[in-house]
Amino acid sequence: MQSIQVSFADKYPDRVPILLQITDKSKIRFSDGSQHKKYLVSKSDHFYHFFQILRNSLKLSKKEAIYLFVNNSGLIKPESQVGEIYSKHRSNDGFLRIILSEYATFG
Amino acid sequence: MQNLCGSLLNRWYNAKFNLTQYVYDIDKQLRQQDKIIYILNDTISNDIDIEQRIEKLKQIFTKIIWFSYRKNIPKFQITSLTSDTGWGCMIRVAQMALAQIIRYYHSFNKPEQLIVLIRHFIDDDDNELTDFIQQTNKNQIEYYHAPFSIQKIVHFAKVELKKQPGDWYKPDEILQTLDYLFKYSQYSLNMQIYINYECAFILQDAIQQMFNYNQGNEIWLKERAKNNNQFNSQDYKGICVFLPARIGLHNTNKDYLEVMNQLMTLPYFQGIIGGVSKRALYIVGRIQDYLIYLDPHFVQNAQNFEDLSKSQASYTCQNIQLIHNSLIDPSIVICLCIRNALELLDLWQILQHLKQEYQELFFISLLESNNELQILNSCQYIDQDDELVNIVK
Repeated sequence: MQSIQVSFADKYPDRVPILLQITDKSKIRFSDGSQHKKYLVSKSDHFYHFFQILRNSLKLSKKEAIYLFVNNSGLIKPESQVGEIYSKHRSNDGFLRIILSEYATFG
Repeated sequence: MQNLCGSLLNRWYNAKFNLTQYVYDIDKQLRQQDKIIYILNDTISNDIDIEQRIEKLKQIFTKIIWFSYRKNIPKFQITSLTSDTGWGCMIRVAQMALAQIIRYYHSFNKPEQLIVLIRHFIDDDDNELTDFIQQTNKNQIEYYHAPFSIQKIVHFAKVELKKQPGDWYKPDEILQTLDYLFKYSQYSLNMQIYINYECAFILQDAIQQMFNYNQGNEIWLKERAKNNNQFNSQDYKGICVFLPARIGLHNTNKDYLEVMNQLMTLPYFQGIIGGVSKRALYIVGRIQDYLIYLDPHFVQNAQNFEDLSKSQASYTCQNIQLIHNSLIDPSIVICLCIRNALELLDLWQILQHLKQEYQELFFISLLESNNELQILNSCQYIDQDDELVNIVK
């Protein structure tokens, strides 16, 4: 893992690797049925774009609420800058681990 | 057998509802909390004696329109269900929030006004559904007496959201439904719904909804607010603001609760669509860290317009209930009502102030314009291989 990470950093110094995991409780899946995906995102980018890309690849409309969390509790706001969140919350293996959750259902 | 199970379930919910009063001894708790009471956009300060304060709280609370589970609901059409017991609580809570905002906006107090408003949500909508389905197929819009009846909600959810009658709802799903149905209500003449599903409040979008002007910003709004008196009430609409948020992943995050507490003291606050462990609740106020709520988990008989005209008693709740805020589900929707330019400007300034104070803990995105969101169109991503998606701007 460490070596892969080093090669990311060499090849794309302006980008950061993100490991996105959909929470177990959610029914949302990627088209291949998996619940996680890795991304390389520009440091200067804002999370708006990331949200948009997630909505596209998960086939979610703008009206379906999704939320991204770091450290199991911190909400990522769309206006946050990728590089800033990365430097605060990156894991030891170099990835920024983000958990995606939707709303709970109530009956 | 189904009837027997249904009736046992109804009794179970009603017994549980009544028991809460005794188990938690709400009255005693109220007396212990010697703090300011915030309920909807009202504040009951702690400088008067406790009896007076409780009396005032009861007065406000028992006037709030309460929607609960109903049995013997006729004419669902697409299902054999005749009750929403066990699945309709999120629908009920969102109905309560919308009814409260409409009522507040119009300052409805007279019984005849309230009857018309409650009729918008009535469970037996007297055959309106058949006509409604035909109209929506033809893309015609006309006003209905009961645009937010559970029949129409379930119909829209089935057609548009592929939800089966009896499925549980997420807050964003019921908001989408009510937002869609709103145009079939006479109240859409002078109100609009503002929702941003990414937990953002975008001033430009709010101005668009209120004033039908798409280039609005803070400077424009200030100018407009200054000249507020020159405009007729027909020149703009009020807005129901719904801010959907998730304030924690598994449990609520304490830091975000503090921000939520602040938002509950806003002069525009009209409740929170929320819940606790899969049970939706309409949270209307707070005393320190205890939340005051209306619980829809009580089963009553469905009513038609005739029943409603005779008595509205089943649409108010006498039991004030409290819950500690650490127990609530992180899925919440903050509800606000903004009536004019002055209020919108004030809200915008208060929110900015809160954002400055709480920094990244302020969980709502505040944006003056939606330009930043437009850039999205020019951004593309390359699936280099299945392993890694590289995002290029």
